[in-house]
Amino acid sequence: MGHMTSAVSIMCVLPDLLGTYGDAGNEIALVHRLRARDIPVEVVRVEPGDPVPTSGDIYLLGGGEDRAQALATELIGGSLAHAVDDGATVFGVCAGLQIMGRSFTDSSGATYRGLGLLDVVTEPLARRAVGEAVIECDLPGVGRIVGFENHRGGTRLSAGALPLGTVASGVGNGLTAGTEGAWSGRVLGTYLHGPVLALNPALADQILGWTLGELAPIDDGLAQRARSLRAP
Amino acid sequence: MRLSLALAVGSLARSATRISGRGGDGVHARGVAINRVDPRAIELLARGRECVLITGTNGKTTTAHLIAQALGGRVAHNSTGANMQSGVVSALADSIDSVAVLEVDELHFPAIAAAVRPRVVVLLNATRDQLDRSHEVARVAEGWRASLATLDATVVANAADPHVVAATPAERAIWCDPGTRWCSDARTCPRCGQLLSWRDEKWSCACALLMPAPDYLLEGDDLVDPSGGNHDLQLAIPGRVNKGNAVMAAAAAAAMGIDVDIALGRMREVREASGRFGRYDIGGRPARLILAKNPAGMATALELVGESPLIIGINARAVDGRDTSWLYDVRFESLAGRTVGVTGERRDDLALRLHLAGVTPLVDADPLHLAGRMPDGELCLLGNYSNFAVWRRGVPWGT
Repeated sequence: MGHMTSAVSIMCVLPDLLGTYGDAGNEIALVHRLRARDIPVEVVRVEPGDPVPTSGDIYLLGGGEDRAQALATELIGGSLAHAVDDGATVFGVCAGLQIMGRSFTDSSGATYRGLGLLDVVTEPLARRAVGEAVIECDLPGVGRIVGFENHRGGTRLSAGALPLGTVASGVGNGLTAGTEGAWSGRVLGTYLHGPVLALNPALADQILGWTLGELAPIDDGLAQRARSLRAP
Repeated sequence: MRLSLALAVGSLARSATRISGRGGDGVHARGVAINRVDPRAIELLARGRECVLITGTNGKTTTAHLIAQALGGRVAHNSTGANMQSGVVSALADSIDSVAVLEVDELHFPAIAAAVRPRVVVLLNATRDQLDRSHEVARVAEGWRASLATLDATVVANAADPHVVAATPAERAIWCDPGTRWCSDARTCPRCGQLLSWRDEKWSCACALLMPAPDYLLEGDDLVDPSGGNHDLQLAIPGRVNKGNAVMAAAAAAAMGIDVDIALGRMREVREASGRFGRYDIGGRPARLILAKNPAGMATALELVGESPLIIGINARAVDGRDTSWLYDVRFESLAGRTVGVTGERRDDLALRLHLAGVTPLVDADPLHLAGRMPDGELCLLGNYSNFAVWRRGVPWGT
């Protein structure tokens, strides 16, 4: 793969539309973890109107309001599916998780076709899920994931998607009770803000590891302190 | 009859709060009691008065202080920033003045506006704030739109903010350009959902919603009035954002019949607004207090701080918003290489954020102690709401 000789490329997909709720922090955390290890990294912000490049190593999608979410899905089109076919990693949070599914229905009842990267569908929950959440992650070596959820949509997993983990506290997917997030291959989505990759170094390294293999440890003392507030 | 009973019960509640020594000035307890005994108290107390309501995400308290001063100071005013029903009813009950200047929480605006039937409404801006509480900017602004459609108020509105413009009835608008351009929460059209174009300091949408030509605007350090006349602002409070607030305050004062130059002359006397921008004694050092409670407010505050040694306090109580994710929507990278004091109940979240921005956090639970560890120079203390509320009860510098 190209990354052994060139920089890891991180594509922030439509951050102006899918980047509210502090999810820019996921990019900030990944870049920090690469630089701390002297691994070259380049970040591309894909703006509305730009084609989404299919050559990236890691694609990040954040949360967004209903309208921005529908517009982002239309603008992304089939580009991410091509990147995934070429081995890219895609990480989405909240609206980012929802649009990766087969379809999503917003709070007004309108249903949109999703990007089809995950075998999940999203429909409105009876009540908005808001608050700190703690997840026991099913991915090996990741352990507990902490973050803040704030979503009206709930997600139902079908056979082709596995949950990211089990809800220890909070709501999570809601429609597939007791589970949080979804993943398949190198596509992973979660409802957790926080930002989740800043608060959960092990999850961040798991995602980087899909591109880079084994990674040297770095000092995560400040992240551990921030985590300990949420999951003592 | 019911109202007099409500007011009497309210006074008792205030006294009880003060005597109990649990802190607080009793404004909230009193207001809650009044509203409980007479749910129509706000409506009855506002009847016959000319009311100016100020709402928006940022700048409410400062702008309300500027307007209250511009109108001559003899007004009912919730000057401490208690801007929900309890604070509003207390301010009205405390004063017999025929004019009221009331800042109103953005989510409570529709209910309070329906009760007071304002003559003038000032819509400052709509940006993300306390996401766990208000959820989506678009919905807050939609609440304003629906409310304003039922009122006959003149609306002094920020033309640079698409959410504000979409919420404002154009035939009753006085458009202002306060010089700010915060497009991060307005990438899509609030009316039709298409992508907005931001070009040459103006925004527009294919659906024909676009930035209106301003009646009042900020140009450098000057206010430009509707006839094209320039007025040097010369405010005592600092920062470009307050120049913009002053433009909107002057427009509101003009809508209330006050000449722009008279209004500006009075606004120059405002030195702080309920602690905001005031100088306090923090650990034996002079420090300027600044409230910064969301990404747009923090961006503005960092600009204002410049090179001054800086302490930031972050909490996540209900009034602050429970979610600290917003710290990552602030470009703290502009402070990279500096040492910044970090305090507040969520200091560990802020320390991590600053570390990831290349800033060295100096963490201390006690801001007074932290002040002694900071480099020389006039300190700036930035805090979100519940930190700031404690600091402003401290000792003003030089007293």
